[in-house]
Amino acid sequence: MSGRISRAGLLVILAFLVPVIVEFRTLAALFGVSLSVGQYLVAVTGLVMAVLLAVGAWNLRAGTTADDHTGGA
Amino acid sequence: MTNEELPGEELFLDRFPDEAQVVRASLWSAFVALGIGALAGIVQALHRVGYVRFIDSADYYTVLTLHGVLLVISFTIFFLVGLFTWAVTRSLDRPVENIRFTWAWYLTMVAGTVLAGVAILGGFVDSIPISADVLFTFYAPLQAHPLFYAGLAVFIIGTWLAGFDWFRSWWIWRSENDGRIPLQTFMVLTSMLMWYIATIGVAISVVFFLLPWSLGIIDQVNPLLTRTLFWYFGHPVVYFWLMPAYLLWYTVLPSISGGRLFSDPLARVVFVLFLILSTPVGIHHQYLDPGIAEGFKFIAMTNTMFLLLPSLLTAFTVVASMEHGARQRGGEGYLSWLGALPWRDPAFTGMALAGLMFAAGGFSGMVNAGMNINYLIHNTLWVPGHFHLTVGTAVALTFMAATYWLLPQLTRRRLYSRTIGLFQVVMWFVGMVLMSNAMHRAGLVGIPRRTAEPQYDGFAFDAGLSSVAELDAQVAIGGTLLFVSVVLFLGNLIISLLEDPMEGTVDRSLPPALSGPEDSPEVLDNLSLWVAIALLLVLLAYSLPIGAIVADGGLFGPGTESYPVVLSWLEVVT
Repeated sequence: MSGRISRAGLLVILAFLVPVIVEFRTLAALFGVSLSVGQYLVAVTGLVMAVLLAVGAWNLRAGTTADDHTGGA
Repeated sequence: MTNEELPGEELFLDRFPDEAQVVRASLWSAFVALGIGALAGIVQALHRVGYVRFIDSADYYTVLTLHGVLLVISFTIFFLVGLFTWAVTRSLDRPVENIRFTWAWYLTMVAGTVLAGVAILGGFVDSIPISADVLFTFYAPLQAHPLFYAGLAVFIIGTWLAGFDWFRSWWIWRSENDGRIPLQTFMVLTSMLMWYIATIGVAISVVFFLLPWSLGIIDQVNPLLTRTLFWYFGHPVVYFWLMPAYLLWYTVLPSISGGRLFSDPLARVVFVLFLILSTPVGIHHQYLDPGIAEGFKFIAMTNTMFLLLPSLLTAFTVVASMEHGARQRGGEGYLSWLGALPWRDPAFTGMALAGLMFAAGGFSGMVNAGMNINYLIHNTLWVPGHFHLTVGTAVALTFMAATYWLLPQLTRRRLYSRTIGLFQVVMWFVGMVLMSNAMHRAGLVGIPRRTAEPQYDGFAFDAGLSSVAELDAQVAIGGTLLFVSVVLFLGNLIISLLEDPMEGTVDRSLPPALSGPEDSPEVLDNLSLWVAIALLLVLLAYSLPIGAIVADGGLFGPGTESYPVVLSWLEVVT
């Protein structure tokens, strides 16, 4: 089990999400899903929330008292 | 003592105070250029998308030239000479032979930059008969003031002298030491050999054609010849920007990751490949130029595709080195080790993100290099989108991140704020994702580059799922984030220098590679052999096309004509 994801790690994860967010409509179109601007905003907000929840769940699993042996991750 | 044994506890500043001064001066020259270039960048980005227009559209090209020349010539190469001076000095563990000579080449480069800069800035003042609105791609038929060409020539002479300085250090080191060329010095020497070969083209173009033409000594030039000579230099210069970034990825990034370079031999192979393959590829920038036979373009495409090899080798070696570092830090699993990397360190995060963006830039570069698909994106906004990923991120972001790592050993100051540093590099990544993504998308629908007015009357670009307005917004937001990122970078550095000197030292030792130089064939260090092969490839790729260009259009013009020739022929037959 790896250590907790720090705020710096979360920042980088969110940065990696930016290209996905920017081209989310293109990505959806590849699967034949056409999104309006409103639907797009809801979808990417949901995506960001899902990632934040996943990170939170990961950190809970890793244990709040565990040493952060990642040296900064 | 070799580079591997250089004591890490002694700061470079203490061991080589004179050289540290030159390195600092070079880096600050680079950062001044970065600041002004970034300002020009945000002005042109906001003007082009029509959000903020306080300059005249005619001045857009002055701003564009300022942006291009300052960032891809001054920023990159000043940083390079500082970094290479640091790398050669520390890896050979010997001072330069004559510090006055070192200062002389640095001041020569400064003089060249000032001359070219004055010529460009003159374009803003109507009452001054000086301008150089020729963009970074300064070939004919656009003509600049002689000061511009003279400045470029002086600048390049400065880099040649710098190369001689590093070679001299190595020659003397070699006379006193046995064994392999230390890796960082090997990287510097191969980079400079490539640069000497590559700058032959631009030197001939400037000294024999553009400068005499701008002085009125000759009436005309052959535009296709000056274009070809420019691109003879214009593509390898891309690798000249990249090779210092590679030096940092190979020799510094593994250490920051907590590990060691995976393979010294692979690193040497990569730099040899860059030396021999970087130059005979420039014609791939001229796929749409009439006057160059398709066969020569095909050769250039083939050579260009071979250049993917060193980049792929680099991706493997650097990621393997990072993984080794992560596992030393307790990382486990197939991918979970990524979490063990030092993401809090802006030097690491900046370089890692830069490498990631370079991969994306490599993919769009393959489109540029393919003869048929290049026609789709030629001279569109796709191309700036591509090189903002390569030089604009792989190089620029790596240089900024490396500065955070170099700062203590060059100035005895700690970075004022690692948090600001981290935000800065991530902000650059996000800003560039937005801006370059929009540029690529815009290029795919045919929106042109190099224009202040990309809109046409009675015609609208079809941006597919999004809209041109959405792409413009991405460019504006991305460009703004990039500008703010530069401000944060420079501000963080300036405040750091205002702080009190730190006590003690920092460990900046670079551990030896897992597979060291003893594992690499000695032929890799035979620089004469690689130079000979590089020159042979250049001869094969360029002798016939240049011969044909001169035969068709004359050494001093008129240039090869296609469209007007067809028209005049039609007039004759009708």
